[in-house]
Parts: sequence; structure tokens; C-alpha cells
Amino acid sequence: MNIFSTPEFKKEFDKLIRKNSYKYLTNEIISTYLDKKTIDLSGVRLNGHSKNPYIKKRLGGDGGARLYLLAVINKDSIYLSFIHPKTGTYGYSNITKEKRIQILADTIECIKSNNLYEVSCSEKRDILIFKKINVKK
Amino acid sequence: MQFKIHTIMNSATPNIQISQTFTQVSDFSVKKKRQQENLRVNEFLDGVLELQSEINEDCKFLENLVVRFEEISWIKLDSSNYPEALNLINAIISVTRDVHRLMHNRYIFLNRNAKKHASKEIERLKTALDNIKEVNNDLEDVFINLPTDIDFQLANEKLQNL
Repeated sequence: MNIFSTPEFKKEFDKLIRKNSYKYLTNEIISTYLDKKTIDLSGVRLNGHSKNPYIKKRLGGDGGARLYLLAVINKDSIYLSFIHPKTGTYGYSNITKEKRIQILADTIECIKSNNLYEVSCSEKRDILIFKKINVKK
Repeated sequence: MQFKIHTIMNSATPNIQISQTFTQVSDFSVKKKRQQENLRVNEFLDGVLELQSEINEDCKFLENLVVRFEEISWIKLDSSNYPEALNLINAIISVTRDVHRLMHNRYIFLNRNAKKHASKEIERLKTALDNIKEVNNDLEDVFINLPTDIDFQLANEKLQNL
């Protein structure tokens, strides 16, 4: 399974993990999506029973954070699209329907234009590594 | 007629007699008071434990409900279950709003009156209520709002064609 992220996700994530109270997000993402051979695509499936799910996932227990991601099954890939904590300095309870649609549309554009980062983790499994994908011309 | 008069004056040492009686009554009184206090404190502590347990039970129910709502979002609505399933989901959303309203009033009452005795449980209840409200709104988006949103459907179509 390949894990990618959009530039928007990376920007949000980088901003969040500068704060001690959000450092748990790294471990949550690694343990949920990078440490497993078979990834559990649980969470709220926002686009009904479509082949490629658009998912909102709870991270870090109930108070924690919310992660939005797309899975494209025939590409064996997951695209981390957006993240927001529920509490703390950058926390808010939910995002609007319009924002959800925008996240979906923006992620699709990023996939089509290869404007993505490949996501992996450090050997110690404590840092997320974002590597920009080379755009084929 | 002769009366046998029992008075403390009959006792050998009146002061000792008085003193002993006083001590006995006094000891009895303190003992009874303590027993009543213990009883009251124990009843109070039992009540606190019962309240904490009730709140935790409610939290557990709501937390499990969040997971079940997430699972419902993966259910396929097709000709075999439509429109019955959608009607049921609509009913779930509506009843859950009532439950949230009811439980939120309970939370306000507890937070005002019992925070000293069940602060952890009341905090857990608040989180559980926030989460059930959130996932209920999500369910409404998944089955009611987003399927009728043209922009969302267009974007989803593009996602399926990747």
C-alpha cells in the first residue's frame, strides 16, 4: 500500500506537530497506516458505497483529531488529504460540508497533477517523512 | 403504707453514681451519633459510586454508538433495501438528536451539581456527547446532504474514475 499526502495535509501536519500537545499525531498515523500490512479503512465513509472511499477517521481517541483521506483501490494507494485537531490551540469541532467537498476536489486535482508527497517514516518510527513526487512531463 | 424509695441518696457515693450515669449516657450518645454519621457517609459514598457508575454506563453506550454509526456509513443502499433503510437511518438521526438534547441537559445538571464527586465521569460524558453529535451530523451528510449535492457528486465521480 502506498501512502501519499497532499501539500495541504503536509502544511497542516507540519504546523500541528510543532506543538507538544499534537505530537501524538505522528505516532497515530504511523501505527494506523504505515505499520500494517493490511490497512483498516475504518471511519465514516463520506461518499456512500463508491468503489474508492472518501473517509473521515478519528485519531487519538475521542478528543483527538480528525483525518480526511481517499483510498484509490486499483492504485493500491491512500491519499492523506486534511487533518484537524478537536481541541487545543488549533482545534475545532468539525468542518463544513463545503470544506469536505473542497478537500475531495483538491485531492483529486493533486492526484491528477502528481502534486503529492510520498509518506514514509523514520527508522525509529517517530517521524513522518514527506518526499515530493517528481512530476512527469 | 410504706414506699421503698430508690434515690441516688441510697447509693453509697452519690457523686460516683452520678458521674457513672453521665458517662454511660454520654458514651451511648456519642456512639449513636457516630453510627448515624457513618451510616450517612456510607450512604453518601454509595450514592456517589452509583452516580459515577451510571454516568460511565451512559458514556459506554454513546461511545459504542459512535462506532456503530461509522459502520452504518459503509452500508450499501440499493434496490434491495431502499427506501426502507434510508427511512430507518433518518429515524436514527432524529432519535439521536433527541437523545443528545436529553443527555446534554443531564450533563449541564451534573456539571453544575456533581462536578466535585464525578468530574472525570462528567468530562467523559461531555466528550461522548460531542462525538455522538458529530457522527450523527456526519451520518446526515453521508445519506441526506451529500448525495443531493451536485458539486460533491461531480467530485466523487472523478474520484471513481481515477
